[in-house]
Amino acid sequence: MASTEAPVLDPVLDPFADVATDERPDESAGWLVVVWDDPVNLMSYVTLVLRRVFGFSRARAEELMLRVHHEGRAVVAEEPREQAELHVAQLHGYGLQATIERDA
Amino acid sequence: MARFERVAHGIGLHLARAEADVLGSLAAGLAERAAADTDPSADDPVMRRFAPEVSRGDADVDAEVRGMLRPDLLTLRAERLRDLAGLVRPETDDAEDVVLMLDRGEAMRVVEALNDLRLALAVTVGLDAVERDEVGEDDERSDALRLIDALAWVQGGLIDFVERD
Repeated sequence: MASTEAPVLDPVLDPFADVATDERPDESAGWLVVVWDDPVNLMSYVTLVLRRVFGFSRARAEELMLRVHHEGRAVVAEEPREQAELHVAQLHGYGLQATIERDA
Repeated sequence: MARFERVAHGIGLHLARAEADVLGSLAAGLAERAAADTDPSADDPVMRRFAPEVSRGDADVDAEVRGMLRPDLLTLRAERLRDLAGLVRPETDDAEDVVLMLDRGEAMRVVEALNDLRLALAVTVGLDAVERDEVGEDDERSDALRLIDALAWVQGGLIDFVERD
């Protein structure tokens, strides 16, 4: 697991130190929703959840589930940050390991 | 032994009394644990699994969003686990089994609660690091692993029903 320890930022070096988070300039840029493999969630359950959260066809959801299973992770959506956060919250509600990351 | 029964517009899940009692006890206990966990600094590993990291590369994003989502994620667990505990409660003290008659929506909610139980058990036994073949019958983790598998069987049967076209 990657570290989640927050880096210490010098306010002088952080150009957005005084800017509210929802006003930062990259908030509307593309963000990826990533689902990670884990040893507990059933493959059929992951497929079901992906269909429910994203409205994928069964074939598409199974394809993404298999990518998670074989490659350890899969990008399941690319969207603005607010939407990506909403989807990650839904996936966490179902018990999937999901994260957001900026589209490089 | 748990079994399923197809009924009009739904599915019947038959549980032996002992199975229902174990399920109800686990669900009720975990529901109370989730409801009582209002302090993230306590760092309960099961609650951390219920409200996992939001970003693996950006600690600021992770801290900001995770803290925002955590209370709702734990409340969600507490509510559906309480519901499951209520569902499997026997109608009478001497009931020999418990039958849950579920429509698709109710079955999905049970599927989600069973997943919560499996996740919690997996964290408890450290399933991420366990090589199943190395856990013998006398290993204290073997009971939990068998329970995880038994719950998976029930969960899988309900998923088949929920997904049926």
